Amino acid sequence: MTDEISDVVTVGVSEATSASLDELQELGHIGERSDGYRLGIAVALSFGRVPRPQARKGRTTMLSVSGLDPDGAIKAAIREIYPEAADWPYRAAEDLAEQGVEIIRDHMEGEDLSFAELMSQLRSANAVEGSVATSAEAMLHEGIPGD
Amino acid sequence: MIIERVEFENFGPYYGKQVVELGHGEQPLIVIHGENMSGKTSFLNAVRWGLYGYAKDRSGAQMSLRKLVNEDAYLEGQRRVAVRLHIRTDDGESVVLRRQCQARVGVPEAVEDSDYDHVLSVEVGGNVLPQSQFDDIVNTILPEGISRFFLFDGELLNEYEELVREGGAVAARRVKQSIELILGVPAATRGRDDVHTLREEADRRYRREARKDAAASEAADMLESYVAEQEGRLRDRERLGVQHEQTEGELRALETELKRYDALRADAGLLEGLRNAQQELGERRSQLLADRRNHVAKLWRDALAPRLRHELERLERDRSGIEVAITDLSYAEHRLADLTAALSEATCKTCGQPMQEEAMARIRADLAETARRTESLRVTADVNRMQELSGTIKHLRDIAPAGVEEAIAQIERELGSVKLQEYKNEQKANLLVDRLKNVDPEAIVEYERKRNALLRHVAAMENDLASLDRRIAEGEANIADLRRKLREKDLPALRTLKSEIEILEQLERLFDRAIQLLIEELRAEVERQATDIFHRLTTDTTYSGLRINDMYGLTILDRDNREVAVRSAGAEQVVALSLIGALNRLAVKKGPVIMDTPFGRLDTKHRANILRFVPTLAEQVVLLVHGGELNRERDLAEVADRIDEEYVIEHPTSSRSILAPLKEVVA
Repeated sequence: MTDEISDVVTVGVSEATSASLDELQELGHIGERSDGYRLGIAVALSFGRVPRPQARKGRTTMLSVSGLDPDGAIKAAIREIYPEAADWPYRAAEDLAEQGVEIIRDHMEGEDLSFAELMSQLRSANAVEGSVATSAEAMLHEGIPGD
Repeated sequence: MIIERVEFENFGPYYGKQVVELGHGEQPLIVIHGENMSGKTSFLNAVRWGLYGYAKDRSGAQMSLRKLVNEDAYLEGQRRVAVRLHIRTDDGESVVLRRQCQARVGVPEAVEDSDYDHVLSVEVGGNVLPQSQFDDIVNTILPEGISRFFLFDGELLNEYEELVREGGAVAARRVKQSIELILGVPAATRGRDDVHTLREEADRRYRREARKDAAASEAADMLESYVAEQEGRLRDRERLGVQHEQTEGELRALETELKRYDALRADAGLLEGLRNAQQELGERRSQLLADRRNHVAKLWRDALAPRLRHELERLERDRSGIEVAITDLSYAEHRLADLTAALSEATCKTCGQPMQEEAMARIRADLAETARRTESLRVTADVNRMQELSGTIKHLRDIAPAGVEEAIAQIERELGSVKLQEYKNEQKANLLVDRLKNVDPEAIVEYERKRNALLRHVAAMENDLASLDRRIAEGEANIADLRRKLREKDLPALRTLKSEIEILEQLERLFDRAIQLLIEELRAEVERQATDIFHRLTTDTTYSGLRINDMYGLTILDRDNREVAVRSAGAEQVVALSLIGALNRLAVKKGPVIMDTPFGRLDTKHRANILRFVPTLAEQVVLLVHGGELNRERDLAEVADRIDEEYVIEHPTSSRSILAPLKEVVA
């Protein structure tokens, strides 16, 4: 399956995620939309979310991959965590951003958002050794729900 | 007298009809518990309004009828307020007084007092009397002039002291008159006034007769004109006095209004302060959010860290496994070579003897096992994979956390405090805005303008009065001089009349002296009684007593009998209560005492002393107390056997207070 997937040169964003990023920016939680996008990727990765390569439908361009990941750190992380996505790390990043921004959005209470609280949950999710990685690997090998 | 029952309808926070039994005087204390805003002052006001037709707000200003009518009742169309008081006089006679105000039909919004019809009814001993006699009956049982010593707000107990000290001559005179009324002085002054009238009448007859005598007619004419002039001055004095009193009344009303605005002006200042604080907090919040945004831009690296740490641990474990396998493989390969050589040589390396078949079999078995293990290790000991893992580990280690998480947590803690403070400020500001919403700044300016004009007017009138008083005194001296000269003429026809006048003059002087002595004695007695009560109430043993002045103002004396210049609000309250206690002991008219928030300014010891004292204050004492000033279980236990009735004001909404009897006895 992965052999047939090519990577992208720009990353996109769905309408819903775009609206969430706008909201986060308007409420003063993030300075730029790309900050929220990047944080979304990291949050999804740390919560063990699995990238869905096919889920690009209806997404509009967000920014270039060089703008997103100037030092290649995101690419390196995705490649190492998800070797299956080694050939399409930014396509994976795009889907992880969708999932991660949704997690952040769900974490809001009214107009308030505590990043410290989010980080605390994130650490708890990784506290049981291998739990996140194990579940993510299992999902990747067993197939992705909703695909 | 005691009040046996109070019935009220739609009075203030009390919706509908409510009946409060105040006992039959078996025990003196009635305790009504209620929290702030529940309706304690309204109970006091219901009695005051029932008797005298007015209610006072906390600033001492009279309340409009619209404010007295229960809000829910008014909105439902029951635009009526009524109070019925069942009173038993000292003679055992039953008096029922009822006052009702009903909004006139056809008035859409009954805002002004003139929008209401007043109905009074009075029954004495079961006989209905004309409503015109209402005020006379009230005056007989508890005259309004002395009500300040029976119905009062504990928070305003020092009011009389303020009036004496700061309220000006008229206010001080009014308090003095109230006190002398309660002490029964007017009975003596009325006697003197009657003698004075008789003497003036005799004087008039004497002048009339003297004018008929040729020897005295000139002096009598002159005296007549002097007296006429003096009567004119006295009329002017009376007219000016009334005007002066009215103007002072207007001034007091304006000052009360301005006092209310003072509180509102203070509210406006507080609001301004809160708004400035809110602005500063808002700026701080914006700055904190900006700082946090800067950190959040890098937070993704910290967010990745927990997951990467897992990955690194896994990768390092894998790499470590390969490293072990490479070492093990090297050992196994050496072992394989040694075993192969030993088998091919078939000689023991130690002793040089040919190896036994049994030993050879063991070497062969070992060789087979080592060969199998070597094969297995060759699969695991993947040097390329190890190099690859090392590269990956390096890559992941390069994704270093930004280390902003703690800074964000700290910012969020401060943001939490800022938001909490903003919320609290907003709540306070909303209350203030609500209080200020009906204030017209122009009205304040207008009130101040009027007050200044009235102050000038009062000062001018006081000048006129002083000048008039001087002329009256001069006139009086001239008349006395002329009267003396006229009498010296010894007119035989007027000898009897002259004797009558002299007797009346002596009688008038006697009355004056008697009144003076009576007042002095009463004042000394008030001072003695007040000092006695003060000693029972105060906890400070360094005070020797109280000293009373001509206006019944009381001063605390230290143990060297020097006046104590400064006293606390609590001390003011104890002194005022001592005076009230003394007046109640000496009063010619006794009434029930209703005290609202009597312990508000007092510490625990003074509260206990006063609580022990109040049952002796009057035949009936109603205490309106809140939980903050009196703990029912702890404080009332000592006076439990002196309590006749006990109520609690239940307060489900601001316009639905209910006075419910408390059944259980305080232990």
